[in-house]
Amino acid sequence: VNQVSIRYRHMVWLFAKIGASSFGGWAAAAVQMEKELVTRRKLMPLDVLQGAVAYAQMLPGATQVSMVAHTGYYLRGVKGALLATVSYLLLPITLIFGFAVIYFRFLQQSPQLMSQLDGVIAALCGVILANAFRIGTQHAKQFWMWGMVGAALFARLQFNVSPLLIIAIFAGGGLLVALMTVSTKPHIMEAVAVAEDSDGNEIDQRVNGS
Amino acid sequence: MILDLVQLFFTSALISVTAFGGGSPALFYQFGVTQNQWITPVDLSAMLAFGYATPGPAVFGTATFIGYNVGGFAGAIVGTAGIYMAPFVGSILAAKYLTGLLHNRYAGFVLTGIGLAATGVVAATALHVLNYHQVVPWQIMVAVGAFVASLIVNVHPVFVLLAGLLIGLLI
Repeated sequence: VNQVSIRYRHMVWLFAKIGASSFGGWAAAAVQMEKELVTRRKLMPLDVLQGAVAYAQMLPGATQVSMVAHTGYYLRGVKGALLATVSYLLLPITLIFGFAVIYFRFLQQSPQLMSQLDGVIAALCGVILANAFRIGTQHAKQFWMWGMVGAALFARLQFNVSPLLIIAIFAGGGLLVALMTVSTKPHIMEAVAVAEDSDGNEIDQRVNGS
Repeated sequence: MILDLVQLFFTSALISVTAFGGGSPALFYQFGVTQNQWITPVDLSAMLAFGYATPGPAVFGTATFIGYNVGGFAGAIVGTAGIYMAPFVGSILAAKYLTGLLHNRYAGFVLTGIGLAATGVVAATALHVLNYHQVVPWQIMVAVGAFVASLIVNVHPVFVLLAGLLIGLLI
């Protein structure tokens, strides 16, 4: 924890502002955080933010929340982490709550309106497939690994195997390979590279380059 | 009602602690649509489309959305708390106690395995959603076009989804 001189109310404003402008996933959020926390206000060195990004990639759940909680903790301890997270999520959650109210009360009740979503659903499927492909290219460094991706896809589509089970089996497989592979080389660079390559290479260039 | 909220909280927390490597859409599909039938695939699609168009975590907001449908305002709070608790607690623990995590030589391998699994199950989720209704040729063309626009031309998802909406309205 690095108790810097930032007031709680300034933290609330700052993280709410970052949360309101973080369109486009965790990479965009990291760029906003770098701009506000590192470059403009100099509240933390770049390597702390890079560490937060790398950790967030290794932890479960929402990457953006991990990044925000990590940096909030760095600034003002647990209370800072909580404030930063709540402030960051304030606008996104409010928007989604508003959408849920409108959707379930009005849109869902209108079959005519719902039928007009067919084009969006088809486009969404393309977007999700593109995201899946991006995730795959981060991890499948060799051709046979795409075979593993195909096996996961087949297990899910053909036999309706639970995604939890598939993920657990693949994680176990990764651990098994790790146990069989003798290496004393630290993996910090690989971890950072994974963090920086996700969602394209933008984060790599922007976080390191500015 | 209280039992529903308890189930919602633990389900959201379970999705959160197992959502490594980008596999969260598949987990929401499994637990929100298939297992508990809290929402339909169309509801999930509408939520994801809205999530991509708004700031913040695009997919994890689904917990708030599902929560509202299950238990109104209280449900939205419970779903939200459940989904964001794990990364919040995890990042504090990591910052405080797990400073060697980045140096762990096993973590990279495990994450690679999870990433490969996540790729397959997320792709399957997209195909599940597309197959929910009887798919017509123009929808397949829109999906392929969206895939190309998103991956190769790198068009922002909001514009891809808007294009899909427009095409759907015109047809």
